[in-house]
Amino acid sequence: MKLGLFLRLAWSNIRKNHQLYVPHILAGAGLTAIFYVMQTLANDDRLRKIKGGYAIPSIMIIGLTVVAILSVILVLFTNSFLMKQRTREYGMYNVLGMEKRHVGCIMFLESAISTVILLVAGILAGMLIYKLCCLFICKMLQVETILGFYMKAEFVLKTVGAFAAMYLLAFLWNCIRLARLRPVELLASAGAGEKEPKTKWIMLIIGLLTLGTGYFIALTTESPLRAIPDFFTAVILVIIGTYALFLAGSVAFLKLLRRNKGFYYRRKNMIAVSDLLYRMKQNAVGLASIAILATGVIVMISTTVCLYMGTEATIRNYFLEGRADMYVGGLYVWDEKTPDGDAIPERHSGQIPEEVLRSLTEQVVGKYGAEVESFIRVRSFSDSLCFTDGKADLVRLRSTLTSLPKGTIDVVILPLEDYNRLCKDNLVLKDNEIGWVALSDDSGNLTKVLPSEISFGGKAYTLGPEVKHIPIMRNEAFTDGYYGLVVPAMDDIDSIVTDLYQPSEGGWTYYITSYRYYVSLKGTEEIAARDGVKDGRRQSYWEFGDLVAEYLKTLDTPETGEHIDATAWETSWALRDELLGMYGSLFFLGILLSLVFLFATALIIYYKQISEGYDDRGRFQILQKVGMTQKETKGTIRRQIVIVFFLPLVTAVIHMIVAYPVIRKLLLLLMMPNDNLFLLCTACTVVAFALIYMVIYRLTARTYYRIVR
Amino acid sequence: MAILEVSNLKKIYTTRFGGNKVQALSNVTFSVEKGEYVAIMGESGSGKTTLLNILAALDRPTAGKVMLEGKELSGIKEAEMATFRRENLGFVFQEFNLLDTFSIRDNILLPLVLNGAKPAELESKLLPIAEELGIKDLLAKYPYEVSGGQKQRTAVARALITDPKLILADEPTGALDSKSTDDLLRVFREINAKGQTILMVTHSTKAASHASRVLFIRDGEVFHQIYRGDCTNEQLYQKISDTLTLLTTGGEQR
Repeated sequence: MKLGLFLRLAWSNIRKNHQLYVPHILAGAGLTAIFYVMQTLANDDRLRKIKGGYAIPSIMIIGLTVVAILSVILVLFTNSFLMKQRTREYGMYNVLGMEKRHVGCIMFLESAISTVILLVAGILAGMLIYKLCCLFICKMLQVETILGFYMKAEFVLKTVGAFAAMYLLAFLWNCIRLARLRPVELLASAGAGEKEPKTKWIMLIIGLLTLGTGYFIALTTESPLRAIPDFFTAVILVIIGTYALFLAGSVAFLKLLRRNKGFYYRRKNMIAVSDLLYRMKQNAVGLASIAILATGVIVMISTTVCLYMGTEATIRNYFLEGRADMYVGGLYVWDEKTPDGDAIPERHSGQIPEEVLRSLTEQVVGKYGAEVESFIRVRSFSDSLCFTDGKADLVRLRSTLTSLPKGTIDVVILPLEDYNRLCKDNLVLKDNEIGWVALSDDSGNLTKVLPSEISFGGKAYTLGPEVKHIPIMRNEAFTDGYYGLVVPAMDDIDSIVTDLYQPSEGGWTYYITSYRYYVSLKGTEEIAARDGVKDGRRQSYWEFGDLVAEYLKTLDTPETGEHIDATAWETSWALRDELLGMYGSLFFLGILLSLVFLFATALIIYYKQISEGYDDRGRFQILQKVGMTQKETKGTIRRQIVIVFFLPLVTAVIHMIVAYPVIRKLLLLLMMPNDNLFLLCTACTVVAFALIYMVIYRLTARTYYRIVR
Repeated sequence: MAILEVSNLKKIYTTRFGGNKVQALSNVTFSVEKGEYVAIMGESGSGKTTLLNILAALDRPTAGKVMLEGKELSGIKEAEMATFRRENLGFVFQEFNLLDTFSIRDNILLPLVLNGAKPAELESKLLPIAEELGIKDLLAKYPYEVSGGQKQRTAVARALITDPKLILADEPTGALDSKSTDDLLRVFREINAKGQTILMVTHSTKAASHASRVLFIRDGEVFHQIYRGDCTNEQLYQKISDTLTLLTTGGEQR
């Protein structure tokens, strides 16, 4: 009987407060759906089996963690807003004679009803969205569509359990607030004015310093290798700076405006400035959060889209600007020793002669109806070097990631013979001459960087002629310069390498040069289509591995058979699977996370509009009584709202502009060299985000004007 | 010369869904001379607020006209109305209607700023008025920091700062304690003595007893009026309360 009454009351409360509950339920359902989708994506075995799909689960697990954390924050945030708005009502029940436990009972029923609705809606939506996701992923990875619904009670239960727990937590928190509630205070405090915000000087200074430092780091990072640690430092500094400046900087700025009498006592400025002062006090945290979330969305989408779209360019970059379709080969391993001092046979994979590799390759591709057209050998040694007084020193990258010595350059060294074949050149070098080429004009002329006499592997060389562009070079320098060097013979490389790498004590000494045979094929499309997938890799990869193993067994030193991994078999079609899989999953994760971020943004804006709406209604009426026309009043209010609304967007765009160079360098680490593509992706993302943001604003502004009117 | 002339004012509200018509004012005629201090009394629902809204040009009458210094209010275009109100009328409300986000100074200056006054002339206008109303020391404070009486004096200062032809006060003492009420009424007397015309709507007998003339409204009509003549406040108070008794017991003085 009583329960029935309470149930009815709870239900009618939810309906009466639909302005608060609809977004609460929508946000909850949205989060539930995305959580469910990610959970299922992380565990769906069918996805693992499609080519390129093996990257999805591990990437989705990262996403799941982020979504879980954000969900907790957002659930508590919506709950606290809901509670704040409804405290008066609960207090009124108390005044009208309900005991607190009765109010608690109604509260429980309300949150139970809304939670059940949002969970059911969320799971159903999640199942639907999951289906769409599968279609989307298959499209993205360019594989055949997986059909049928995939659902497991386990994932539903996990999702429901997680969210039910979050809402239970929120309810318990509300109970504590209810217990502390004193209705008399509540009714009395309704009309009290708010204190004028104070300028927080210390916070302002902290904000300026952190933001300034963050921007400085982002703008001055030169090396892509340094970009990783720098980027994260900068991100943290900028986040702190954004919050601090929104909180303290806005107030300080507006107060400065107010002190300027000539500016302040003007029709348009007076009301706007003092109202904004209060708006910033109430909303600074929310607005700063929006700015951060917006920046996050823009960064995620623009980079992941760019990577995904740039897949083909990256593949071309791997295979001699599209001249080759695959490469086979391996690494020379020099004097490799384990920490125990056990010697590992020298140059084991280098032992496979060219004719053997070529015939093995022909066997494999022949199976799929393709033919080898050309087989170009390229032996090379690459590392970062630092020259002091013309003598080369090795830069140990692992230990000096954050502080590369000044003047460090990246080099790729080729023997003359391989260079001439690769670049179709007829270069002639003297015995002690080195040919060189800079990656691009801005890495500089090597003769200006180095003295003309340099010592390399105990031998003196002179810098010789500038040579043609070497296509196996990466597209960007990670250090202060990037050069291709051509030495007279392979023996020169051998002695350079042995000289540079003096074995260190008790550690792995792992010195490598690589040799590769770039292969161009006739019938690439056929082989790409017919080459199947096994254990996440193309069939041809395993077949080639088997052939190499078989060959190695025929050799005298059987232990070399364990080192097949040192033998590379990389094809453009397999790389495409891999890149599409990885970048596609990242892109997809970017979209899902952006959705969550957008939910958060929309919620903050919506709740901001509602709470401001109630405040502004009073102000609106007073202004009209004092003698402003309705039009003028609306004008000033709209202007303020637009300023408050655009502030985070503008901040996000500025953050993005500053972060642009660092992010570009990070993309280089991921072998994404296409500059214009990233610019285009960023621009499109910003525009798209601004549009979505505007839609969110429009929708929420309607509610606002309804309240104010 | 009459500063305000109200003749045959009629206001009929139509309820939202058509149907019912409610007559708020049936036939109101009176005039206010320059420098007069007129109180309008009546019970809740007698049409006081409707009358004040029409005088303030916030609402339009169904019939009849209102002339302020010979200019008919209904003849003013909607777009110019706000300016007209700002320049000619000053308002004092029961609930003060001060803006929380403004200091006392800015609250007072608001109408001037809205009129487009130059920053330089603001201070010279503000200081004498603030001094006169005894709120000079409060100018930097915020509404939530001062008492009800001080808030209302701020509102009066805000009404006076544009040198309005007429001050309209709607239950100005309604939210004040007795001491603040006395203070405010004294302020009204003083500014009236300097020639400011005041029209006050109230149902406080005490407030009305400070006026130079009291109009009584019942059922949308001016039912009676009392001139102060040579009466003291106490005598006027007695007269007013006699009239009110008559009104409530249903006297047939029509």
